[in-house]
Amino acid sequence: MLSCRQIVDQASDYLEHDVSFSQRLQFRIHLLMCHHCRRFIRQFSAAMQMTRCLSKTPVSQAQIDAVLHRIDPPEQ
Amino acid sequence: MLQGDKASFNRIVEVYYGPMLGLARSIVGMAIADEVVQEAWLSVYKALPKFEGRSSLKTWILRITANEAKSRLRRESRHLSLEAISGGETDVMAGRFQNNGHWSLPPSAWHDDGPDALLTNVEMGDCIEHSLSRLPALQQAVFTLKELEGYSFEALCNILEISASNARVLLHRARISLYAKIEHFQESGEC
Repeated sequence: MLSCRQIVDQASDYLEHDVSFSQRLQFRIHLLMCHHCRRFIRQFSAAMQMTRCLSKTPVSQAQIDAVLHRIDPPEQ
Repeated sequence: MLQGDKASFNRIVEVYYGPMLGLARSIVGMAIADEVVQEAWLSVYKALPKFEGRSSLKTWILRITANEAKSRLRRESRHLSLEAISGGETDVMAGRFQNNGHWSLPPSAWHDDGPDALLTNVEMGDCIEHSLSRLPALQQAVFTLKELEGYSFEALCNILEISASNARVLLHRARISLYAKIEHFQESGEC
């Protein structure tokens, strides 16, 4: 029987289907019996989806031009 | 491009600058990420004739960027703890379990627990972005490559030169830290 601590530690692997059939079964049995862990997995899954949508670092044309000028400086 | 086609190189710079900047920022922080990327481009340009195509061009360029960022971090951060660089051992869930592994402080019910509802909370989004920038360097780098750039574990391990098991542990720690921050925000309304 998995403990709640193990559920938390293995949550990423479980949600990404990176566990064996037997591990998955043990996980599901624990979730059936533990409403705290059901809530944790639901909220952790939502958090994973939300954080995947964080914005990427914006890039300006000036930054790109700076590279091109360093590599191939304009003639004076 | 290997023959010195300037237009192709310009196009490559435009396409890959963003992913490189995101990766560099995750390792060295925003303040010097741009310098690191500029240096990485010089390295890419010099090494381009030696590119053998054993990995994709993007993976090869990002590995050069990661190496440039890690060298810079080592130079800049002699005063930083190993933990801050290597991924950290901080367990944000410590203290929430009894000795038998059951919850002592179970997760609270969030006001919004669907991803769409979480996404529309702009203040919380800013808070999570700030929290991501405070994670240890390698945790941030793994998170950025996997979750924001969509890399497979195999590719990101190749870029960062770490094992797959290490990458999985670092990613899970990053996710748990961000989960705990969202939970805190949901409870307190503060970052």
